[in-house]
Amino acid sequence: MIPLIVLLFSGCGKTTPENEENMAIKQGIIAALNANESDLALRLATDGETHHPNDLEYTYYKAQAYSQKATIDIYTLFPIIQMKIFDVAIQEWESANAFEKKRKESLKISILGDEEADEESVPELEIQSKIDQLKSMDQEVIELSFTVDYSETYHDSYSEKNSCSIIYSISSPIIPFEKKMNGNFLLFEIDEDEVCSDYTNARIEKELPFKKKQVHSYAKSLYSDKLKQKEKRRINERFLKSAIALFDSIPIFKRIPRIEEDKFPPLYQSLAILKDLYRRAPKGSRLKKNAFQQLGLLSGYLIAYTIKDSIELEEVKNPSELACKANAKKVIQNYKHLLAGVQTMLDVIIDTKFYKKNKASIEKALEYMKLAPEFLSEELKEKYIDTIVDFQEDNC
Amino acid sequence: MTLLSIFKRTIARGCLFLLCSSQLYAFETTHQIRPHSTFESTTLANSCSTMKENKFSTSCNMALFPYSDNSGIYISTIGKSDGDSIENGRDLIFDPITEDLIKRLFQETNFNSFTFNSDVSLKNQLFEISYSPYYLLADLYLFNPAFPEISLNLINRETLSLSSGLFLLGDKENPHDFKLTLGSKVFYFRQESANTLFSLFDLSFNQPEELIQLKNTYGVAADLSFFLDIPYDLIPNISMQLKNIGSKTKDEEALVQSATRLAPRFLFETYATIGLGKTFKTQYGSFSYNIEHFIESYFEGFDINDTTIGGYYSLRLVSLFLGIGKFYQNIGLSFDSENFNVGISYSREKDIKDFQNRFEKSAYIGLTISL
Repeated sequence: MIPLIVLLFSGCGKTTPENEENMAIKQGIIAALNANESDLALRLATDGETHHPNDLEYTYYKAQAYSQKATIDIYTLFPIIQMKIFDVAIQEWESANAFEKKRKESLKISILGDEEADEESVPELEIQSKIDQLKSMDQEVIELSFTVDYSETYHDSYSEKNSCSIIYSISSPIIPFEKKMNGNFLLFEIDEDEVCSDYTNARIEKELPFKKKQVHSYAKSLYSDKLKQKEKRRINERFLKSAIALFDSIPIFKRIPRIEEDKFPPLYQSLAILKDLYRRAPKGSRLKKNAFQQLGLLSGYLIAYTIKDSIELEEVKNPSELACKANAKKVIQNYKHLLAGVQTMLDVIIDTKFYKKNKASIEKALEYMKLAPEFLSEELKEKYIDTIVDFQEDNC
Repeated sequence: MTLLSIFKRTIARGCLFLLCSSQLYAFETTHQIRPHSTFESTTLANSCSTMKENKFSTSCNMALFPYSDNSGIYISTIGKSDGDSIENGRDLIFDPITEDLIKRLFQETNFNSFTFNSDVSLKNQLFEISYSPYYLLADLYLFNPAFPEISLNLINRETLSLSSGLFLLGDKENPHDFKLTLGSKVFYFRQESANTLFSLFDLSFNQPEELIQLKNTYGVAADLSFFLDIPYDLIPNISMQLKNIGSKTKDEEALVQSATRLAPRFLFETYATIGLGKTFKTQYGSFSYNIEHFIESYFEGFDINDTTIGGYYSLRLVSLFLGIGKFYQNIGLSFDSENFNVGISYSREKDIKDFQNRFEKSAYIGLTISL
């Protein structure tokens, strides 16, 4: 009761001196930032953090002071968000359905072995579902039913045993992996004392259980080759799209501010503080949101800066010249900025919807990041420079 | 620990909170156009509470109602017609964010404000009924160039009020008599408001309506005012007003403790004014001066920066106005006829005081129609 009475007479009900002082300091920091007095802002923020270690706003303003010391004009970074390369990357990951459809078409064409083949010529074939079915089946379990039109024998290039090819009707669910004639055929092995002409439709069906394993393993071996070709084609397609996007983004890269080397330490200080703040700030709070956005911008800047500084953008006339106009020494020199940018970006997108949608790709990237050395030894630098130079000599 | 002791501790903490909790206003803003403002009161920097026997007297101080003899229906509006604020606010909210815009905002002025008031009044000898369909206020403060954020305060208030005044002491007809008048106003208000904070990054990738969520509040409040008319030329008349008695402006707890929040003063919360001034009517026109001091709550604290001086000269159809304060300098002109008043003023103002980089130059236009 006594404390209450004391407070009543002391005029509690107005702002407390401590809160007023706290507010005044923060307003002073903001005024210093507005006036570009980053040293003063940093000093005030550091003092505030010392006296109020639980007040994350001081930590936030400390990061802002360091960011301001790095002299990056924030408004020049906004186009980074709209840059094609990031746009394409996001599209690649987010429009999996659209790409999957295209992949299915490519797969169908290559498997059928006929570039002109389309869905109308194989009306009842459900290629993707059969492939999935094939992949999921045990080796002993394959259902076959087909009608034999005629047969011939030839020496199979994949094995030393005699093999028969059977031309069968399009009702067969088996995927043909070799193009011999305009049609579908099945390749399977026979014993030495057998001839293919002995294989009538009835006999094949009767003998079939014993051939299932050979057919399946052969199909699977060719299937995996085809898959590897598909994957390679998909990777090449991605690289090509990325190169085109990078080329389209050159005008924006040119606007990315170039900062002096001595401005990078405060930039990295700011990144470190923002990462710590992002980890500690309550979910849904203004500070967490701002830290997330600013980390995204600054990490994007580091990646974009690396590209701008490492490639002679003025001399690039088409997407294929991007690799050719890279300055090998500068690429290695900017390695740490690129690594920091990519690591920061990957760190902050965890727990976002984007991460959940593309978890596999991002986890794979994170694994690569763990293997990437933080610092390059002189030996490694020379090695990578030589690799880049050799690539350019071979391809440019 | 017994249940009783827990209960006592809870009550004690609750009382402690009630006694000690308070709103902390971070970026305090003041505005020349206030609820029920007219062109005249605005141009005089709201320093007009002793300027009696004018058409605009009751908009400054309801205790001057007994001196008014104008009856009828009046429609008045006052708003900022030109200035950096209008252009910047429009660009920032409705146009794409560009590098040039941001540079300009930080280099020129990082605080932008827009206000507007409209009133319809019915006056007679006994009372005045006034309806204000719109009192609009939009404050926008851009800070932290390292990662720009916008502190935004939007208010739209609708008010219906009933006012009157009477002589408490003295005889109106006797010019040598000390006179004391009392004025009062009771009003109902309905308000839409948003006090929010977002980054430029948010603004670049979201529509403004997604970032600004308006809230509705309702309430009743009152004004009480006094005017002491001293019949000596060298001794100024005295006025005292208590505004927005009973007003409860509730703010989001999350923003109350924020150092980045914008909060208008001398608008909706309870505050007081003290005025000293005199009016002289001569054959060369009517001269009035007034010194007004604004005080928070019920006469709490004193800040010399909250003092403004108003000067008024009127000759026949033309009136000149002057309003001066530390953060406001106005000069204006109005043309007054029986049914129609129009005025234009030029102003240099700093609504956010020393946090504003430089004075904003603005032009105000006011219009009053008498029916």
